[in-house]
Amino acid sequence: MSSSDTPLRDVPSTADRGEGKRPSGRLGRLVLKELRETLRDRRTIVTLLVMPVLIYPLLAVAFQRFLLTSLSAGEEKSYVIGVDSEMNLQVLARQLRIGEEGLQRDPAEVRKALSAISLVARTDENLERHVVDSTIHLAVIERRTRPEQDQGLRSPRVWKLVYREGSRPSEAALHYVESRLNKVNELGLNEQLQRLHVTASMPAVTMREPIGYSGAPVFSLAALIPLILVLMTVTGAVYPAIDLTAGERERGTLETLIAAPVPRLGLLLAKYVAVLTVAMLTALVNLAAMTITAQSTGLGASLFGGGLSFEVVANVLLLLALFAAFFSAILLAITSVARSFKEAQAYIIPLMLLCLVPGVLCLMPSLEFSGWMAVTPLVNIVMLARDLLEGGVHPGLASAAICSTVLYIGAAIAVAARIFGTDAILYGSQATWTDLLRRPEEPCNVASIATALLGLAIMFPCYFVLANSLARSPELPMNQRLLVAALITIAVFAGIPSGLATIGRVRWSSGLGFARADWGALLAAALLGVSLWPLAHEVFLLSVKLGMASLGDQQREAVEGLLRQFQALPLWFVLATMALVPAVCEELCFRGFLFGSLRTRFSGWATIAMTALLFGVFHEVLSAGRIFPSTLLGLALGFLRLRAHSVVPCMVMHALHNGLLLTIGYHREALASRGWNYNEQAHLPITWLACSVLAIVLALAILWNRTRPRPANTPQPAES
Amino acid sequence: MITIHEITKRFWAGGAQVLAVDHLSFAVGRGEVYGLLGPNGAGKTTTIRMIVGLLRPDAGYAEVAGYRTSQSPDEVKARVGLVSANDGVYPWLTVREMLLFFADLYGVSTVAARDKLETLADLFQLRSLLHRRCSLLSTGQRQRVTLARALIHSPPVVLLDEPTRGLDVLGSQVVIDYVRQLRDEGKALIVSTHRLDEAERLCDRFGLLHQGQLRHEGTLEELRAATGCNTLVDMFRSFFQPAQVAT
Repeated sequence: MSSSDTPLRDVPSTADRGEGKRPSGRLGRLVLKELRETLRDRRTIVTLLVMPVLIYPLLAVAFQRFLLTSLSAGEEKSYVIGVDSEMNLQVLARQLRIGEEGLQRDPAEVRKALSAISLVARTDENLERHVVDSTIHLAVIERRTRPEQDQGLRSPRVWKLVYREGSRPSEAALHYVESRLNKVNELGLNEQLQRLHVTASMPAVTMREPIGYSGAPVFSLAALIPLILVLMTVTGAVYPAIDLTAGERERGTLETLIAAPVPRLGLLLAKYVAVLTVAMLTALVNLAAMTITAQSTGLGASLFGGGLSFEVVANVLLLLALFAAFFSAILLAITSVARSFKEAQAYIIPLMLLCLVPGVLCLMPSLEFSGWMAVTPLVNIVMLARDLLEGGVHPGLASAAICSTVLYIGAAIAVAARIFGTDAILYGSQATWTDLLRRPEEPCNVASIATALLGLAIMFPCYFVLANSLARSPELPMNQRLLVAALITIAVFAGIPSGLATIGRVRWSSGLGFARADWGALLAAALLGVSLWPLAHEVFLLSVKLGMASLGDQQREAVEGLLRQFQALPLWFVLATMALVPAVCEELCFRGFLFGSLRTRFSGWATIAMTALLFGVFHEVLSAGRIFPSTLLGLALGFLRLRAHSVVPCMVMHALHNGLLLTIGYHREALASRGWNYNEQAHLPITWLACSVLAIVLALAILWNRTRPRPANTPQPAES
Repeated sequence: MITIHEITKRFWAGGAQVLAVDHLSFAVGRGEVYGLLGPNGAGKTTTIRMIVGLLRPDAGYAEVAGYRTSQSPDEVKARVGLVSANDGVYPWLTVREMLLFFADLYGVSTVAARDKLETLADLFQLRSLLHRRCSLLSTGQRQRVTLARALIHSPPVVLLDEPTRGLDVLGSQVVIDYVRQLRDEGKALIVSTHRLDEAERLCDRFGLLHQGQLRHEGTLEELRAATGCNTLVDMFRSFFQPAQVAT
């Protein structure tokens, strides 16, 4: 058969066989197979069940030692005091309570102080041994004495206090018990003197007055939790990640898998879900083991401040999910490079050591979770975990950390899909390694999903860091700020997509949507651009009402100040930097590069929704509360892109929308003097909204009419 | 059904470039078994890998049923059943699970896959093995499972790289009989094997490869007429080891 022959249809084509129609069903079955294969392997069971059961009791012992020996005497802490019998324990507890009440007036303080004391009855006559071993801080043993002969006096209970010399916690416990018992003696003496009607005064009286400590925050055990999370999650994900990638090659199934008509991204996605599932299962088992151990040993309070509540467990679970999602993707990307188990292990060991760095980093109490950390892979999750468990995390930083992590996950899977099953991995040919970075020989219409994910993973942190750096430079004059903001927008939203498109030989007309637009689409875009803002305003007010956005006095003042600074600049400059540049560059990215790529795999509406959400997320990064209106604007722009088959109308609409809002703000005083008073907090007049809706309907009608698919001209029957 | 046109592939080995396949061209029609024969390193496996799209040719192209591998890889893969020289199995899956998994990968409906599984189980004597984990299979059993896996989606084109590797005489005969049956069904087959006696019985035409080049092509009769040798073994010796033959 020559190359010009018509393709035979003896087998249904891939499209006919429904691959595109049931991707989720296919994905589910692929995941099921991967899980079946992984969970039947006893090596998975070892990491899943056996390790947590063994590790946590051992860790608990280590933590107890740590608590008992490492804390300094000056810090608030808990003491474990061993008493030689149950009866003596009751007596000592009562005496300590009386002593504490004598020292502290506030009942809450008394309760708090007493809750830090753990009295344990040890009847095995090895109390001294326990002190030496540091399993208890102090041993209290009743010393047997002969009853006092003096009439009228109760024989005192003589306590032998056994402590470990040189151990600050042990000495502190000694001091604690001694001071309470001294108070008991003092109170007892006073009582006896009163009974004898003797008035006595104390030669020296002391008062306590604690003062706040303004130095570096003290070390918190909660900081250790992220480190443990890193280790437990990696442990669970490592084996399945290797087995499902390098293992495929080693057992000879990779070739047959790649020879099947399934996209590699789909295969990798299934493997990712399987690895993530196993990692989460491991994490759940670990969490259960940790919870049980912490509860049974009483370490929960020391590890989690207020104790091991449901909220704490839920937070840890969410963090585990984030950890597991991130590590599973990174591990897959790394193990996809390997051709054997050994090679994969060799790659993973440095990764694991590397992962410990941010884990250890967050142990530094003076280290603050800041902007650049929020987008640094792994560091962001570790710092988020630490702050969350310590009870204070900035919502903006948390959102940035989660968003950037999700994008890194996507990029890692995309990289893994690009590597997995290539010539280099399948057959180990050296030359083909460079193929991974080599430009395609033939131009293509749109960027692949993998390239789009990679682009997003580069764009998000770049934009976050650059935009935040600019926001933290208030000393810059406004004209320079706007100029720098425009340059950042150009570099991130135009530079990165067009760069990736050029490297991937993607045609700009199709890949970035730079196609010629119909005049009807341009007209509709212009109409939408000038008529959408009243609705956007109402949506913003709605989101304020729903609590999704806020417009406090501080924010209003900031907006006012910004507008005043804008007014000091020429309007054209403000419009060029704040309307034109963002419109062109953002549309190039979201409705051009990303839309074109996602549209190859998803339906039109799904693509609109995804690009709109991404658009909203990027705007939320800059200014909290913008996700809702920006996503809605993104939906409108996406619909326009879908119908117009070009990004140009989207640029027109976006530029007019931004430009009109800026112009209104710029001339607000002049407009107010003519009775057009625009207030950010008030609803717009109903006539304005009605005009807006009418214009939108008209625009949609034009768009629908001009872009609907026309039936092909049917040939007219020839006249006889 | 299969067209190979001027296909070329180079590899890097030890810092030097090796020409694995050198401007190779041949075609295989429906109902034809083509024997791709040659000594180790002749380029047989590389050619098969390029046909199915596992390796990208440096020049030339391969077409299956009118679809070019470089342009429509999934269409080509859907039409090809591949038995590779180093095929493996999933050790923790049962034979049944593995075969149905591959049927699913090729988009075969569940009902059709089960029917085909029954047929192949009878044909390759796999019925008693269907619920056995693949890690417990012997070499011969694995090879039979691999053959069944390659045919589970009833492909019009079958590429067999050492299909009787690890099989005993009876097992090999089953494969040979089935290959004949596939030919009778109008499928196009390429068989690469070192067992020249089998190839003689099995193949309609032969391509004799050496150092990536197609040295001779034709039916057994044509090759006999061209070489003056009676068997493929003699032809091999005369083509590839002339010095030894002379001595």
